[in-house]
Amino acid sequence: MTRPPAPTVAASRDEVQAPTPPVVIPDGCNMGVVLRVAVGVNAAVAIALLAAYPGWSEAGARFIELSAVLGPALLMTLLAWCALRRFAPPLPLAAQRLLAWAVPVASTGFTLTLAGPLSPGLSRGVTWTALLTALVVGIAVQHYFELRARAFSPAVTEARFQALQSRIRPHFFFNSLNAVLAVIRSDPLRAERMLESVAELFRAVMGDVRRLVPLEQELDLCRRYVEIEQTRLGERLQVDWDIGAVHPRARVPQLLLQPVIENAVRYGAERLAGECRIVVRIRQMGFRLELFVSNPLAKDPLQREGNQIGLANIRGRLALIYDLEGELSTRVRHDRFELTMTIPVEKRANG
Amino acid sequence: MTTKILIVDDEPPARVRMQQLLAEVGTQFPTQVVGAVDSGPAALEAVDRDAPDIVLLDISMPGMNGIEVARHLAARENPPAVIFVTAFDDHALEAFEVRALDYLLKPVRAERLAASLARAGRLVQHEPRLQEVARALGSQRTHLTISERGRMSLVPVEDIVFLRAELKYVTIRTPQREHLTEESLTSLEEEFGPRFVRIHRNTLVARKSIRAFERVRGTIDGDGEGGEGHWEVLLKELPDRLPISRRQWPQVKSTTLT
Repeated sequence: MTRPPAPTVAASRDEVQAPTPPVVIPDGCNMGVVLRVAVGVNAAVAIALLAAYPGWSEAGARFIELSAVLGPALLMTLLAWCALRRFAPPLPLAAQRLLAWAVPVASTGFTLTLAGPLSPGLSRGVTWTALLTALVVGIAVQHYFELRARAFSPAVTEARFQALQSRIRPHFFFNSLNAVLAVIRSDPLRAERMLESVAELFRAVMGDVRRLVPLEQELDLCRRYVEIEQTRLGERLQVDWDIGAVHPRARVPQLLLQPVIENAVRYGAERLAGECRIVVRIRQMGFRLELFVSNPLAKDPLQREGNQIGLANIRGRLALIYDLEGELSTRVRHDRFELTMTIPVEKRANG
Repeated sequence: MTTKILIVDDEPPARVRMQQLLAEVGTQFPTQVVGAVDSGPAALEAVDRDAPDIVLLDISMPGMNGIEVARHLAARENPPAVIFVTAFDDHALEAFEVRALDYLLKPVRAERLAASLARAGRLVQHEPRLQEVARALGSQRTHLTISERGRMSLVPVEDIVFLRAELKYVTIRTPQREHLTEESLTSLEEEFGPRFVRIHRNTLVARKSIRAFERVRGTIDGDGEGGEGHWEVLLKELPDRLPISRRQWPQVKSTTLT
């Protein structure tokens, strides 16, 4: 009885937080934001007017007069922020801030041009003051919400990542335990190794999916996973590993590749009678890493459904970790399901 | 007399494990394993050959799953008792009381296996019950069981070109030959839904077999329809031309030409 070669345990286990580009334009569609902006700005204007004019009645009259401009300008600002936040392409922080500041100025200018002729109290001089005020208020509001977001968003992001956390499929788990039980008497060494691998998988699954781990570590996990599946499924499952030259310190999000291979096993080997050959190919192209996995599909189109289901999770994680820099595409060619992921090569050892 | 057992599981270690367990409970419940096979069709063959008393049947297998195997077995004259074995993901099974449909959860415990075997005499699974389970699990058969001259044979559903209701039977047409079944066209249409399209009140055609539609002058016999012609389906595998009834044509057109 020979013990299979010990797996190469990745030397380094220090993990890195992946970057998540924030959006710093206030969310004009969020009720909380709308309420805070409306109350805050109106209150500020009221206080300013009270300070500037001696009597209550005069300040009140000015306030009502100003409201004709303030109301529409506020509404336009909020709507524009809402739209920008949702539909603008991802921009550098500075550009986002400038854009957010420009909105109230533009809204105020626009409202004044339309409302100016209607209300006699507004002269051209007031317009410049108004624009400057709008800019200052805009900067203050945007800054306030950016700080607020910085304080609160980790919780939100955390929740989103939690939702995308990988899970061990019960079917896989119980079948693996069953397979271990089957060999525990005849081949105790193999049973040991299988339990070790199950433990490794569990460790990874319970870990943080944002962790960037050395590619070699993720590959080791994939090989262990395939080994368990091969014990279960026997000769039927064949995997071709085609790993090209990759930067030795290249890092990938933990459990990026394993779920893809699991998907291939699930929709290839578990659905198809007869041999199932899965191809795993990894190539580095400049500063990008290409991960390719393909599996055979049932000839019958009705049995092919479902291959995409497990991928929504991976797509979601790629989007959260790499934003637009991570790509995932799939296609069916020659009765095989092909998946290609492209991610930037991360080499940093510390965040 | 020892009980004859057939083990059906696509995973080799699971078959080994089941044999170990049977050996373990052998002192209180002597059994003889007459076979351990890895697929549904192999199981049906083994049942016909070795006539086991009990089949320990894995549910999730590629191709023909365990529920389908049991349905084909239920169509036989003296079906063996069936005990399902499953890992987990068949939540729908929880809905069925153990009394109605016995199943063991993997990893199987020896005591639990012994208890099931002891009850096995009452464990013959009946087709209506299995049909219910299959529906709950959303699983369709991959084969139809055909009984011809006392022999049971399987027709793969994906080979079927069209199904036509005759007087008492439904004719199943494959590229090679015709078979007869007592199942109704309506229940077949319900089970295999999107695979077939109803072109006439007595005909279902496999979508994948439709080559073209052709307009023909004259009426369809017995359909009592007007004289301005009708459409026919031309098939990929067979020279037969199948008439489309006027009532079905709009639906056939919209669901196959998109």
